[in-house]
Amino acid sequence: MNAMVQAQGKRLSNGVELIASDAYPAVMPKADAALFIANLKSEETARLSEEVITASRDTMREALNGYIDALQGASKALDISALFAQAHEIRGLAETAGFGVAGRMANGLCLYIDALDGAPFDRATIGLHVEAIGRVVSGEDAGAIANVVAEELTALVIRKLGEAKALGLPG
Amino acid sequence: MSGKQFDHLKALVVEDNPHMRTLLRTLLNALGIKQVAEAADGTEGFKELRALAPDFVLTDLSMKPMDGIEFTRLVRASQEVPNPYVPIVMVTGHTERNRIEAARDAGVTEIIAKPITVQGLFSRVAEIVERPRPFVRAEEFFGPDRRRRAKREFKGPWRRFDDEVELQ
Repeated sequence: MNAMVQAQGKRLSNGVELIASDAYPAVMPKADAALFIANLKSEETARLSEEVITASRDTMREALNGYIDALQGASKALDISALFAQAHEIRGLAETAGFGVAGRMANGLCLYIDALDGAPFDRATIGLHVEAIGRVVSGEDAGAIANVVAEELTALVIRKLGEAKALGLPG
Repeated sequence: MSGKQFDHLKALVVEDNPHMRTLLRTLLNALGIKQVAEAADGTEGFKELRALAPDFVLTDLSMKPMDGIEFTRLVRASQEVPNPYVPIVMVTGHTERNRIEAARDAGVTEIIAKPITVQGLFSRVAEIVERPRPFVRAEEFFGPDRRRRAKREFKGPWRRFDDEVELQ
C-alpha cells in the first residue's frame, strides 16, 4: 500500500486545525491542471460526452422499464420501502433515458414517502404517481400533457403533506 | 486534444446501479481518464481505494451494505487509506436536505444531484482540480472546510486566523 499522506495545518485558538489546500497533494500539478481544464471545456470533449449519453440511452430505457415493473409490483404489494427504492432508481435514470418528466414524478414520489417518515400514506397519491410514471415511459403521455400531470402531482404531494402536518404527522 | 497526457490520472466510481456506473466511467474516459476503477458499494469501494490510491472519487449515496456517507466517513477517518484528503464527489438522486447535510458532514467535497448531466459532472470535476478546498480537523470532523464563502452580515464569533482577511 502507498504511504499515507500527512499534512500539517495551522492550529486555531479553539483547537481546530485548518489545513491549507496546498499542504496536501493536488489532484494534479498546476501545469497539467490547465491542460486538463482546457480539454474538459473543449468542443471535442463535449462531442464525445454527448455521444456517450446518446449511446447509453437505449440501455437506460431498458433498465427503466425494469424499474417501472418493479415499482408497479411494489405499489400493488403496498411495500413502501421497495416503492421508495424503485422510485429512487427511476429519478436517477429517467432523464438520461430521455424521460425527464418521469424523473420529476419519481422525485416527487420519493419526497412524499421520505417526508412521511413511516407515517400512514395516501394510497391514491402513490397510485397516481406510479400510473403516471408508467404512462410517460410507455409513451402514452408526452409533451405538454405529461408536464401538466407532473405539475398536478407536485401540487397533490404538497397538499397531502400539508394535511399530514395538520394531523400532527411528519410532513 | 487526445487526452493522452492524463493517462496517469486515476478515478474510482462507487455506485450500485450498473447502468449509472458504466455511464460515469465512460464519461470519465471521454475526459481522457483511462484508469477508472469501479465498486458497487462502500465496502468494495474502500478496498479499491486502498489498492488504487485514486486521484478522486465519485460515489453514490444509497448503497448496501455500506452507503456513500459511511464510505466517506471511513475514508476521512481511516489510517489505512493512502490519501484521506482525496476529493470525494457525491453523485446522488437524494435531494432531501437532511441527506445533503449528512453527506457534507461526513466530509464530501462536492455534491451532484442526479439526473447526471455532462455539464454538472464536468463542472464538479473542474472544481476539485482548479479550486481544492482547505481541510478542517476538529474533534468531531475531518474533511473539506464546510464554509464556502464569507458572509458580509456575519458578526462572529471569529474562530479562524484568516477571518479578518476574508472579510476586508
